[in-house]
Amino acid sequence: MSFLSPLWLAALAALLLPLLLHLISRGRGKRVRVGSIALLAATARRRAHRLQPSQLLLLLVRCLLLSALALTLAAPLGPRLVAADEGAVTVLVSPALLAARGAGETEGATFGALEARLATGHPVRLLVSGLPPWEEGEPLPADGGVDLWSLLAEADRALAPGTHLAIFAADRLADLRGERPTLRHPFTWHAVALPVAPTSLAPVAARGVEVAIYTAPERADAAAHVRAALAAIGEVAELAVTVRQEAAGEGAVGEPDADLILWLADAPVPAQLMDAVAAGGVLVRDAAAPYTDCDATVHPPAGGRLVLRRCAPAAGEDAAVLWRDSNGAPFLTAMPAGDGMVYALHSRFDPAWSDFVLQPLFPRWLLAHLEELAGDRQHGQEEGWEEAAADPRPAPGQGAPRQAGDDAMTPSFGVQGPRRDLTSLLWLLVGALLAVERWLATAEAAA
Amino acid sequence: MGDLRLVAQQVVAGFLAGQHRDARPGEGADFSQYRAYEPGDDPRRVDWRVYARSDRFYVREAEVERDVVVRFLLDASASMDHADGGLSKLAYGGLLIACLAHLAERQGDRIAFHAVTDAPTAVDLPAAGVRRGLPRLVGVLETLTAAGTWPRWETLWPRLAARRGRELTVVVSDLHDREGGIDTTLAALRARGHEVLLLHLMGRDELDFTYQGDLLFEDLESGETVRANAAELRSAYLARLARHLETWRERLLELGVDAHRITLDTPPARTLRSFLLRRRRLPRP
Repeated sequence: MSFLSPLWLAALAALLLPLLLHLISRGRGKRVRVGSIALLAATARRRAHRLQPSQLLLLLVRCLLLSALALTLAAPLGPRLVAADEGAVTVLVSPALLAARGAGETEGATFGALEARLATGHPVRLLVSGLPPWEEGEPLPADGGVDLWSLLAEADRALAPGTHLAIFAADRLADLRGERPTLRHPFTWHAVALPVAPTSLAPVAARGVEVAIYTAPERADAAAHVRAALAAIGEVAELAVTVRQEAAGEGAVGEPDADLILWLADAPVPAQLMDAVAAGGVLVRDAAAPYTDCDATVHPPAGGRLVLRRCAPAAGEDAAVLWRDSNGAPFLTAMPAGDGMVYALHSRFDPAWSDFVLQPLFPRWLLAHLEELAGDRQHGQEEGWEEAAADPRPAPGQGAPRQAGDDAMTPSFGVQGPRRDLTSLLWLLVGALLAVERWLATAEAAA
Repeated sequence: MGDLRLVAQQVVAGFLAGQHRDARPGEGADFSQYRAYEPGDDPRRVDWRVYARSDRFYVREAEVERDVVVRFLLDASASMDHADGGLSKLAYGGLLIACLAHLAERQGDRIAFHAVTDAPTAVDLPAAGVRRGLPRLVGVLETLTAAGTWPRWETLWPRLAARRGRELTVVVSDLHDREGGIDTTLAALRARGHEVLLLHLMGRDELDFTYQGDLLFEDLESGETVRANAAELRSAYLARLARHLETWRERLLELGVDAHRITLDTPPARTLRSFLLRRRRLPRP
């Protein structure tokens, strides 16, 4: 079970309250001096350590009530709804899989599931632009790669609500070009790794860019996320990215020349680097200390949603605000510097600050700048072609779209259907327990 | 309590005033009793007015025995510190004794007093005429404190030295005694032929168990405590108390002790009146 607001589970500590109150009440009591306790002692001894059944039941009900309330506020999500009855089903299948099926490459559980789906006569649409319907025997379009996520988002919009999507796709990182969608339709995800045909050619990355990351010791995690994004870009894009990382200090830096400079430190950017930027480079710097804990979101113009956990005050500069957070504060600003541009992220490339580095938006944003920089460098370089290697696969769980209602950070492994929302049931339980608690408490007081 | 002697005088005066209103012609307000004529009594001591009314021969006790000693035994153990409504059993018992001693003064009886306890606070006042005895008694009662427990008979008896003449022993106690010393004392006194009058003091709270809530009960004599909820305990306690009181009633009847139960919420004057009126109707043992 997962929770939308797991912090409320800390309220379970409130279970200690009724227990403490009971123990305290047992320890208190007005002292009464009597002539003799002989007549009291015998009776009291039999009752001294015995909690009356009614009191025990009341204590139990109160503990259950607090537990139910804490769980309700934590908004648990139950197991995914098993689509015993899927209702209307539409099969979305990659042409590459159908081609492999046609070539007799039908081994594996996924092909078995595909055969089962095709045999049931569910409508089939191809995962190509327009999502055209397909029937057995019809010709298949050439496999030129697909923008899978965008196609799935299109299918989520176009198909009738409640339609179950049985998705069969080639597990290729290259197909993951759009923004990872969150589907409202329940879906079943099946992915198969298919090698690129040996005769296919991919253009050689004749363009290259240099990236320099200057990192303060405390920003090591942020630097690691930036390097990962750059590495992914290097694998996917037609771009040779050279990355070097150096320590950020207050003194002069060696080799200030780089196309993209990332300054991840509180110290001011050295003049050498600013000179490199002014010559046409791009500098990206993150937020310096201090920071404040904030609860905000950012909706970039290109779409998507970022969660912001820590905010840094904006520097007083005449920078253009590119992105703002939900509190109206700048999140990303840009300011020209000579022939270059300085971007200031009023956060950090660290998941503890925001989930920017975990979103596909981050490498795309970097890629956009790198491609622009590479375009400037491409002048005069030759292009070539080489045989493409096997297409890299996406990280486990990162290939499938997200189901509406899932945690944004939860990778999807292609399970079926949305998670059951248990909140309504739990509120009913809380109400019932409250009624029982009041009834027992009233009866106890009357007794 | 104020000046104990003054209070006692007020209580007695009120009682006597009531007695004078209630008294039938020919009867006095003295402390003595009639007793049936026994062979050997002097016929001149027969009360002929009573004979005229009843056709029976009675002699006045007071005319026969002028040197009656009224001996007061006040339980001064720690349990007598139990208070109900602001007045402790010890204080209430002391007031009763002061009143009775005042009555004895009017009758010319001698009084003796013992604060009975095994603690150093025990006091023994030998029998003396009221001219000397009453002021001394009041002085002791005003400063007496409750402590210790009821002593064993073997240690108490020497304090109650042998006296000449008949005695009326008035015991004022709450009968809280785990060792059975009170029972032994009463039995021993009766065995020696003394008339024993017992004033059993109880608080209304312990008689009706008017306590409420979660309480920590502390035994005044032993210091033991027991924690309990009053509501849970009430019915069982009252059942045990009823058996306890019934056991005492039967025992006192067996011993021939004239017992009167008095609750602390009863005004002393009313207690005195009902007790003495009842005494006048009871035959002498």
